[in-house]
Amino acid sequence: MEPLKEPDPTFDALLELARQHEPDAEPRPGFDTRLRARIRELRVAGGEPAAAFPLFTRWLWSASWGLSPVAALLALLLALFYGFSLPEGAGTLVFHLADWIPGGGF
Amino acid sequence: MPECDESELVHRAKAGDDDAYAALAALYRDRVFGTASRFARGRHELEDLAQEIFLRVWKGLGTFREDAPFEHWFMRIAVRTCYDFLRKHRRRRESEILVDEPLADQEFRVTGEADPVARRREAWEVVRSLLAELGEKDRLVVTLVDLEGRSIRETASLTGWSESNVKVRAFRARKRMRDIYERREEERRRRLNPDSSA
Repeated sequence: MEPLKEPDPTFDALLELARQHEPDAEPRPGFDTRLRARIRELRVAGGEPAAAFPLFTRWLWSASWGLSPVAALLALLLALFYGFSLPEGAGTLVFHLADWIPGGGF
Repeated sequence: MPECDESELVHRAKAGDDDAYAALAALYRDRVFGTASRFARGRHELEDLAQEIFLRVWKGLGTFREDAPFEHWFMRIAVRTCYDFLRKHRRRRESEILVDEPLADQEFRVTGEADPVARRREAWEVVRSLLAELGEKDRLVVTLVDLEGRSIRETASLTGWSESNVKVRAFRARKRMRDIYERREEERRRRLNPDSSA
């Protein structure tokens, strides 16, 4: 015999009951200490992880700005030497660049 | 340690002050454990997941722009970590289910217990078994919207998905859970009373 005291809940009632349930979410004693120890380990193992990413993004940003005049100059030179008849010019550029690749190019 | 406001703690933690980060973590501990407990199974998983959230936040502190609300940034990382956790553990759980009894055959049900606390816990176990049948994204959305009671807008903001995506996903996931639940109930009733269907 089933020990039913209340009818089975509908799905909506079930969700509502589950929402009201508070799972056991207490950290075990010493959680903070373990977290700090792990942070110390990471700091020792990899320097300052918090600072690595912003450093890289700052470098990338400055490097990309630094490269933009070079890219503009290159585009100007290409336009002067090969005219504006792309994509033929682009094909020629690839051909010339291929000569620089070690091993005979394509 | 003297009382500090959150922005001051964030500023100091960004500068590498571990005491400030520990104080910040203490401020968010309940929220992190509360959210993580909806995804983890058992104490060990819960602690691993919570620690992973705090470590990711610590690693990402350098990218936090202090003009934005820290809480929102923090909880986005927490939700993202929970999502990654679900993805990472899915394969392992599938293999466990193959070894163990299939979920659908286990007696996850609300027994009609008069004690409201026990009834809520049973309902949570049933819902958790239904969530296990969903994909990670659906599971995340149902957990945030239906179990944590977050709005569609808030969920969209935390997950980085559009509001319509969250709405549609929640609707479909809920429908799938409802179908599975009703099918299970039907099968159980048939098992208990085989003559009733004849």
